[in-house]
Amino acid sequence: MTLRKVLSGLLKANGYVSGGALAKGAGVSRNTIWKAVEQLRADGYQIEAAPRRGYKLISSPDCLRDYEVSLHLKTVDLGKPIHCLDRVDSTNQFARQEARQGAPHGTLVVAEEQTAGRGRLGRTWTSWPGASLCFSLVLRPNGVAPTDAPQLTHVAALAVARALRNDLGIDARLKWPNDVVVDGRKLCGILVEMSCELDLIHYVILGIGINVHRPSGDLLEGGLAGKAAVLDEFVGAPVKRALLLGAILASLEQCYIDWLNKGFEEIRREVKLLSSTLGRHVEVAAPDGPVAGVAVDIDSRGALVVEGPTGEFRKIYAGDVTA
Amino acid sequence: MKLSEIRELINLVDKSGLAEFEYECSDGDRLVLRKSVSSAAPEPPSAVEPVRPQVEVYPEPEPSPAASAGQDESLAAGEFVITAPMVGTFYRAPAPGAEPFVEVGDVVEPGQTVCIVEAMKLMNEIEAERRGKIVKILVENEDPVEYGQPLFILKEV
Repeated sequence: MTLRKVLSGLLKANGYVSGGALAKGAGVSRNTIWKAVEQLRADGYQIEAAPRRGYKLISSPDCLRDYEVSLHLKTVDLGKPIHCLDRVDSTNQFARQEARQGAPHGTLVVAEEQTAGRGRLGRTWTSWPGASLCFSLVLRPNGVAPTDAPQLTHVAALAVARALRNDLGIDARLKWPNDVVVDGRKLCGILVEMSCELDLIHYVILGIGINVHRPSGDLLEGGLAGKAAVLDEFVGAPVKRALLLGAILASLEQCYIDWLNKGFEEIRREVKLLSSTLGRHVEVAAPDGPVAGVAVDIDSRGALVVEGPTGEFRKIYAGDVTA
Repeated sequence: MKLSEIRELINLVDKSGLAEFEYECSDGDRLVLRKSVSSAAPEPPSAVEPVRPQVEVYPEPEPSPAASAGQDESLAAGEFVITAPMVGTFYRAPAPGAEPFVEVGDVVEPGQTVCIVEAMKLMNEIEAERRGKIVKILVENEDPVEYGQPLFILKEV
């Protein structure tokens, strides 16, 4: 908490601030300030100290420590509490264990590295230490029927796309149902998992992974890391992940509350506007066989409507779509 | 008749409550105007296209035999079912090629995952709510399932 207050004080000062002023702002002793500054320096913050003038923040590292993350939170529920981990098997797995033990709605799990990051159906999701932003949230949508929960995939994808569009000015679009793409290249993956009874949702785990920086060194060799789309290259500058996380959570909270209060229709309309799938010829590897045709609509439940060559309509609830 | 006169007649008829209008000129020309309104009460003319509530009508294919098979199952004494809480795709294993969550004959505990139902990339791990022995698995892996459709028959142990 002290680190957060000191960091916040340094940021607000936008220049030199005395140790005494920092101590007063944080409600701690000057000695504690000195220790906090040393800790921040060890964590990669560049802080200048000058006699009689005090401290000045020169630069912040691109870190996902809880005090940095919480500094950028603009949300009421999401991100409270925060678990920031250096390493975890999978943030979804960790969040699920927390949820089972009663973690509240909004609990956030962020990890610098996932050793067993997961995608759908046991597929792996490769995360790059220091280069991707991977996090999971515990959601408890009270009063929502399990049968409406799959709409959350759209809510989450739209929230990410909105944040990328509004905060970073890039042309993020949605590939049905859960990918955020730029120039047709996947930038963000979403995995939603639910535990429910027939008419009651216990909890939903929403996992989001975004490629932010191009990884360096060994990761580049032979793997996808050299080819994958990364956010930095669309923005044209290195993106601070804690800032991005704050922006996405704010956007997500807004979309989520709108969805709870007003239902799916408004979300659906915006999803359709940003869809990179609609209007295109698609092939769907549906579980009960391949489907080919033109993606013509996203229906009131979020399913993709595909019109086949003989004019028949198929509603797609699951399966991989290639356009 | 002059074009301007015809135009004026069309306007008049359009704004009237008439569905049909026939006019015979002195020179023998006959003009018939018929409005394509089905109801007797004409709607007031409007410059703006009325906004119709969007109605989606996508005929859905007939439910597959698998989707209805479960409903006909009759339960013996002490048997109960686990049903699908949403429309989606049924998976017996966490990943293709992996071991199924459960097999016939397994005894499951409350909270134990028995299958996954997926819709729109939301993976719903269905858990047993009661202890029981799996007697029958009613759907095939990757079958589409409907809301409320029975997936497993279990027997109290």
